[in-house]
Amino acid sequence: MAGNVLMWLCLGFSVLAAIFCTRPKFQKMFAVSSMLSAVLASSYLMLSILNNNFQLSYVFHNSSVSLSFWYKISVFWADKGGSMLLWLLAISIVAAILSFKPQSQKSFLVVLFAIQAFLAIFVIGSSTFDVLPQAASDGLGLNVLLKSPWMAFHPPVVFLSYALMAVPFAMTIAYLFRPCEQNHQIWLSRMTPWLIASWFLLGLGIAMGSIWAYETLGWGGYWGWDPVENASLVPWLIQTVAIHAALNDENGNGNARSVVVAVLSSFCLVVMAVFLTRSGVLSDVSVHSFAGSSMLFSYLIMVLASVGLSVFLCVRSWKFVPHGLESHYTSRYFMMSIGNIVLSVYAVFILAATLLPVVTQIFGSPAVISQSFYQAISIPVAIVMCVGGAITPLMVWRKTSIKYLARQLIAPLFFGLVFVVLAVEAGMADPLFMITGAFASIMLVSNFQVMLKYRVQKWGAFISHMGVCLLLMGVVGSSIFFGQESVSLGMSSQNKECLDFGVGLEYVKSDGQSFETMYTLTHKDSEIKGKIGARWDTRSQAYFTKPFIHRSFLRDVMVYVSNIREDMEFIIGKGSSVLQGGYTIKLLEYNEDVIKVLVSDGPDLSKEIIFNKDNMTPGSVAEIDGKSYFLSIDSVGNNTITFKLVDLRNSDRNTIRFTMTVMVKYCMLFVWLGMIITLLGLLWAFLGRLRSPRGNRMSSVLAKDKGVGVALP
Amino acid sequence: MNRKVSLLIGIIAIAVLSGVSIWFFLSSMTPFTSDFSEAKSGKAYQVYGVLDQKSLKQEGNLNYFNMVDEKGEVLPVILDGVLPQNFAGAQKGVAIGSFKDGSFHAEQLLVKCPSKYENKDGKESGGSGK
Repeated sequence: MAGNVLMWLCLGFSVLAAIFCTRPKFQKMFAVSSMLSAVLASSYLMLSILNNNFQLSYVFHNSSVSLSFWYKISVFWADKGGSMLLWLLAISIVAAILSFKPQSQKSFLVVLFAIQAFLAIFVIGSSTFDVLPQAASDGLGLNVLLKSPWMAFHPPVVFLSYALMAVPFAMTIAYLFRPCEQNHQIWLSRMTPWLIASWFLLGLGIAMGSIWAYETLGWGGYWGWDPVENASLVPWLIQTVAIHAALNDENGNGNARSVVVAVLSSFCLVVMAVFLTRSGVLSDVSVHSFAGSSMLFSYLIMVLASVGLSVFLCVRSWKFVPHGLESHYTSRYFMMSIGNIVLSVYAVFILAATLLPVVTQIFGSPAVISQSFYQAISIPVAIVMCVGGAITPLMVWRKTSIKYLARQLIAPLFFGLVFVVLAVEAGMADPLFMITGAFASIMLVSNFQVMLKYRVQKWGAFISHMGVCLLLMGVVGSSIFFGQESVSLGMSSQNKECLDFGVGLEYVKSDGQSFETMYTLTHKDSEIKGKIGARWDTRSQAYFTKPFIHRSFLRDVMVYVSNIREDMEFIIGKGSSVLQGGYTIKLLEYNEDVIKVLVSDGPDLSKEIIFNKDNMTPGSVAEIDGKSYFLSIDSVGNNTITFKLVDLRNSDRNTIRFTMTVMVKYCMLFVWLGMIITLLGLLWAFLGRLRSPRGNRMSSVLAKDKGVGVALP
Repeated sequence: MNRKVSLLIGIIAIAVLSGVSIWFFLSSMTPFTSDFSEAKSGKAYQVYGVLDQKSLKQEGNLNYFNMVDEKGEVLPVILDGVLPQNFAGAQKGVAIGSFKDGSFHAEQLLVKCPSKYENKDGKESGGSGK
């Protein structure tokens, strides 16, 4: 109740702040008020979570008393409404602060407050603060898959990135209202740090998501080209385009048009990503997206509003926004533009493939693009970008001598060859791997070479390029060099083989609530030991396991356990019940005439099993649901009975059985190193800009403004 | 460099990339259905239906289980690879592959949680790690 009131207040104040754009005093007042309402609402939610207030529907559905402190914090954004609230909170703080800065233009602030208003509507519409009629004693708990530090903190990183992206967007809109040259320079210099910050955070969020996928899900991968994943990758790619276009512009090319389009598109794509994830249009084809939502139209309206406003202003102001100068094909300007074109086409196709199910659904039978498409187009794009990425840093902005370029490329080309040799030595002589790896090595060494010629402050770009090269090697290597095999094991398993490893089990323990096994994998002379545990998760009614990853320089060996079945004896006293093998088994009645047992399976099954005088003896077996398990009497005591659940499809009646999957994946270290180094480079670039902001090129540019283009030698 | 020439180069670059991408695009389009009679036609499909966990049998790398559609029709599925983490607790899933010799050979299985909040239970692909 209180939360909803605060949200309506926040909405109201945002709208007022937008309306009062010509009265700064009022605007600031409303801005601060809306920020305060967002802060209060967020504090209310966070405190409710930490104090186990299960009367709030949100807290009930996502939290539980036993949850640890940090995971309770993460409950804030565990579900739709909370993550929207987080986004709103971030924007409201940014907007309030910026409303006090004299440089903030009117149109800029109006756009920020409009975005804030939309978000407030989303929070209200997601029933974030709905109250249950009665406070339960405990909540449903956090989805067990979210109990990982990577996934717990992935949403705030992504939503902070989205919040920060609103600023370059609003600044660009403001620039389009008054596209004079002075504004051009001011806009460029002010916007770029925000853009880099958002770009860095989104990259970090995407990386965290893939780390989580690899470590938790057990299918051996870290990127599935799932529509919702793509929805966050596409804006990141366009942000990359925006940054490179902005660099071109800052360094004299004057191509404001491409910067404008790239920045506006990035934000529209961010809003589209939120729409795709939350509206439910992709719920049938994506494991990530939410089920259908009544909020669909609200999200769609925000997408249409952002796109509509962007297109309208672009068309209106196009004549007044400068385009790039004519540049020589051996100029950095030209090469960066080509790179931007390639990345943009790549992003457009990923987006088209992601949207295909939505579009085909409207016009008839839905169709989906399979993963092979994304992999197929990524390879040529990667190779082209590597060629460009190797040559472009070597270039001068305006015109470079080809002889100079050729000389600088000797060392990188040599290292490309070195890579091929190393690949063959390591037994990884796959042609695709060698080709992409060679190009990536060339780009890596070229960037390293150039980096050494610049001041440390400017190393960010080169570091991230090198990171991308490592990432590319890792991605291609891990996709090609991947093996997997599953084998069925039990307590008495001996001499089993899986994927060239001999498998031995030290022990297997299970008691219906938890499971543990210690194993040894032997391959020729080397041995790998590990331990896997699993806990029964009541929320999903299954054992929850995580893979054990043995990492080494070149490869990861991943061991994953699934399909745990127990044939174990368990004792039940009269009137008590036991959780075993997924069933709840209750001993209803036990006397000399009859044994009555109730077996239930959650919602689906509830069966009463009766053993009467004739078959109340050890060894008697009764059917439960005719499909997998049978209930058998092991022994009979004074007040208790020992039962067993027997899996009659497996001939060994007395073993705990499970499936062990062994996966070998190469080059994963390069993937993680690549991601870390790329992000480090982005952060470096951001910090470099904070230290020495590129502003005030106005005087030099205004002087050049008189001429048309630049005279080339 | 002449403005017109740069524009031409830009357009050619876009055209070439787009052409290649469109070719791949069209060849990877897989129709999506929850109608099992369509899925049994033998073409590549993404099939959406209810998962029957009790029917699961595992042998080596292969997982055999059934999917059931709204009409109650049963589709036997064979999945080569790791069974998704969520399989036991999930209601519905999407099998991607084609029908052959009486069973639907799935290269991939996407599995969803039954709760209203289906986000962040991760992508589940029982297939190669690409």
